[in-house]
Amino acid sequence: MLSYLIKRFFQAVFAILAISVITFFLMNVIPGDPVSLMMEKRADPETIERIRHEMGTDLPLTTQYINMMKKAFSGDLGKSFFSGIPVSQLIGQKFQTTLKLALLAYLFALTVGILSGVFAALNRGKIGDSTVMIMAMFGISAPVFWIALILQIVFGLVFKCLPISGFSTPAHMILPMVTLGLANASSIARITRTSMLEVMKQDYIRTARAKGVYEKRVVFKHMLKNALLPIITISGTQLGGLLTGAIMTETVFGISGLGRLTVESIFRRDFPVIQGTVLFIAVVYVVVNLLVDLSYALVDPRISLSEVD
Amino acid sequence: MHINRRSKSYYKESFGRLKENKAAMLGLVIIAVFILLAVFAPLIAPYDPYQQTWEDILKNPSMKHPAGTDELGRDILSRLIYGTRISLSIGFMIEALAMTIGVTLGCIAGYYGGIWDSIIMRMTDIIFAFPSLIFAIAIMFALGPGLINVFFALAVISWAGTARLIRGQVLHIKKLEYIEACRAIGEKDFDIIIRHIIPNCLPTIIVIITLGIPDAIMSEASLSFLGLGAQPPMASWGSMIYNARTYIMQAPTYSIFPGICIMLIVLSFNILGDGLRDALDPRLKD
Repeated sequence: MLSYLIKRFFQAVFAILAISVITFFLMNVIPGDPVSLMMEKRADPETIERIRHEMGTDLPLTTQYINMMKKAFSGDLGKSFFSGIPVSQLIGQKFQTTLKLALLAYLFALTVGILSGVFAALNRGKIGDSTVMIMAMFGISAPVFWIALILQIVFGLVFKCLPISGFSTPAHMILPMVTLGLANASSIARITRTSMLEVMKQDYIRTARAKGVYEKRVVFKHMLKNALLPIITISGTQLGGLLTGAIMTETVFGISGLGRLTVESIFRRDFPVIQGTVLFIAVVYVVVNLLVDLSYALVDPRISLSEVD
Repeated sequence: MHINRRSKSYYKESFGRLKENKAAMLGLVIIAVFILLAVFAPLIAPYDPYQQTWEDILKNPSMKHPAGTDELGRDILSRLIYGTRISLSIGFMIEALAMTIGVTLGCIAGYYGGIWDSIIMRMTDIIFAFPSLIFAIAIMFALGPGLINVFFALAVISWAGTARLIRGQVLHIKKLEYIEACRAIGEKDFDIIIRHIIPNCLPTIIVIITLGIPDAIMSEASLSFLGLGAQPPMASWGSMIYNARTYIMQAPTYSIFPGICIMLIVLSFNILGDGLRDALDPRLKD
């Protein structure tokens, strides 16, 4: 177990270093000089040169990269060109909102997905099963940003029962949560159904029923508990994706989160913010996936962690 | 020398199994309809997709404009039909490039192993470590907006999954006796890969392509929705939804039709891909 932990830790460190190099390369090499682009035609060459020196962009690239990483380790990701606010402060403020949205969407996806999948499995071959699976296919195929707009139209304009922008009150959170969680709920429903059908064939389920155990107990204590592993596997891998999927949801609902900050900074060509947010989201993604991998052995002690890799 | 390649009857039997899958056949028909729309767009579209009519701004669906009009008075149905060209061509092109890179690198990694395998697999690890949309956004930021850059950005990201899957297949196939026999009689590695290994990976490649195209279409639509993909006045489904956001109160139906198109084509490819996977290797169904 320890050797696996060490191996996965070094894999995660390698991935984060590679991501930082790629992000630095994309932000600083290909678009040309960030200072000239920021100043556009408003400054003379001497001023541009002075600002370049102050910001350290006149140094060799490797030196710039090392300086960036040293500052990043101490939490300094530079300052926004647009607002002058430290990037780490911006990220700290916005990430709380994005995290709240992602966690709500995750809970929604798990609850709706598992219950739908159980329902479909128990009604296999009947209309309930077909309905759930067709809806799941549509849920997976529809773009997140389009689902957001449709929900805004239906619940905000037609029925006028829910607010269509913002994230301040529980009522405001409903539509963004459903938007972000729907695709994941659809995947979880399909996996739950498949997993439940496998478990339903097992001898111990027949034994439980023969013993006269109540059907609800058979379903939730015996079937679902044993069907959980593939469900946790798929839902765990989705958790990191929710953070990136939040970009679309925040853009449509006008939520002031990390995703929207990333998109706005792209249009403002605010290099430090783009670099900081891209790096931060990628690091969180790597860490979340690492934690999910390590949790497999906790869920099923029969799994050796070396098998998970 | 007998070449142990899947026989023509294998593909005939697989197509027979596919025909029995009604959902997959429906998906195939829908895809065929979209392809026909793309090819014959100038003949089918009722209006010029770029023609602006100021008297018809943000009109709801009517006999004159079955899908309504946009903020510049352009016919939405015509723009949807022309948008099919962008979505399908981007989807096919990205998948073609991703497949070329992925199959080549997957074969090298799986067949030669050693340092090549390590390098290629570490490259795929890096790509998988990066959230794909964020990676695409970062690349688009560096390259600038536009469809050509979308193509490069998504192709850079998309090959990694293919490479891993093909590598797995090659690791299995290269251990088979007929491959050892080929090496024993002095056949060159390149010939073995081209004539024996890749043909035996064909069912996997077909399924990967069919399931990769909808991902590419969805990614292009997402980038266009963020304003990074197709630029005005180009008619892309994603950019139409991006524009429709601003007019959701005046013309709610503006955003509905492009989303239905994206959903239908992605759904059709996914259903067809599932059907092909079951038809080409029924053991995978379990």
